[in-house]
Amino acid sequence: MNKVANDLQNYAPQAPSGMEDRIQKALNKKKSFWAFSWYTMNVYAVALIGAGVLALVFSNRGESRVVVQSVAPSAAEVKAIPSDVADVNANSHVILNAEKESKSTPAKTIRRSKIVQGETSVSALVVENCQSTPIVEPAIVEVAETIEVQRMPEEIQVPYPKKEVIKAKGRTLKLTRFTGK
Amino acid sequence: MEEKTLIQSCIRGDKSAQHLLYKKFSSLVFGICLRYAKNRMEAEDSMQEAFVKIYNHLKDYQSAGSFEGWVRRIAVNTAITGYRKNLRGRLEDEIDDRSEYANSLVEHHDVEYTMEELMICVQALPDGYRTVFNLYAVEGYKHKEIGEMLQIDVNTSKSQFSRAKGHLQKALLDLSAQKIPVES
Repeated sequence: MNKVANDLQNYAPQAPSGMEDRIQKALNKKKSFWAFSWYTMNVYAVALIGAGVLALVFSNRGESRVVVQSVAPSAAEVKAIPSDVADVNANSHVILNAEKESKSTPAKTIRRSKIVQGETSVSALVVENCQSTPIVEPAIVEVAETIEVQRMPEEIQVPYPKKEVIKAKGRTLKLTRFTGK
Repeated sequence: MEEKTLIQSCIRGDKSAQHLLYKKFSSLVFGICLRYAKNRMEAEDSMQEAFVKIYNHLKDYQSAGSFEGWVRRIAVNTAITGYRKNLRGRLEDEIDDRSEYANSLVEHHDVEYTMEELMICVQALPDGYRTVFNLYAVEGYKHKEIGEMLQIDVNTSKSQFSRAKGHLQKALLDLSAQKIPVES
């Protein structure tokens, strides 16, 4: 048995071919994980750039959504504009007093008001029907030609206009809107 | 190139020095791995792992002992680590078949064999027997040390060595018995 043990102790066969390359590969693989190497740096750089591009894409998407949301209230604002007109109508007795009316400046005006008023001469009607009242030239001469839509930070809840019928002496007259300075 | 210079070059990552170191010790390491492994493939895996450990821990080598002894110890430890990893699966192999080989514990001095045949007989041993046999008979460890290394009882180490010896003797006898009719 000692002879067997001795033979085994001195047994040194030739290592298989390709074993050295295999060891070197394993060695490099283990080293590259812990130690610095340009290969891993490139991988990290590509990963960082990719992450940055993705972040940029997602942030742009978020901004476009915000714009869509901010545009929606402005449309609602335009629709709600008649409420301003209604305020003017509610205080339409001011028409009879030009000085006071001049003070009532509506916040916003729209082109539509001009079209409605352009069909009939309201002042003429007033003159015809209200004999006892002094003739007052309405101050609805100037109508804003351009619509200025201001972007509102928040949606403004405007109450729906109340329709009121103004009963003039003699014939009834329904005034829809008066604008102007 | 001197051994010390070779080691220092290897530590610096010099490929040619690493090649020289491999050329010098590859046969020794492969022989050890073959003795502890079940087959050639397992031995190659063990050898790869051992050399990676050698290259990575060269800076830890103290010049107190011989470098060859240090390399040998790393190869043996790697083989033992591999044995421990698969210890649970291998316990089934440790069958007590003492009675079968009780009568074969006779010294046969005139058995002829080649190293390849001897290696086949060693690799055919059950894993636990083979490891204890290698550690005790070839490496020269004591049973107490083997018990600590393999985390087994001293008596277990002794009995496993005894059984390994019986297995090996019987395998060698069978081998010589097969050879005799061929030669005559």
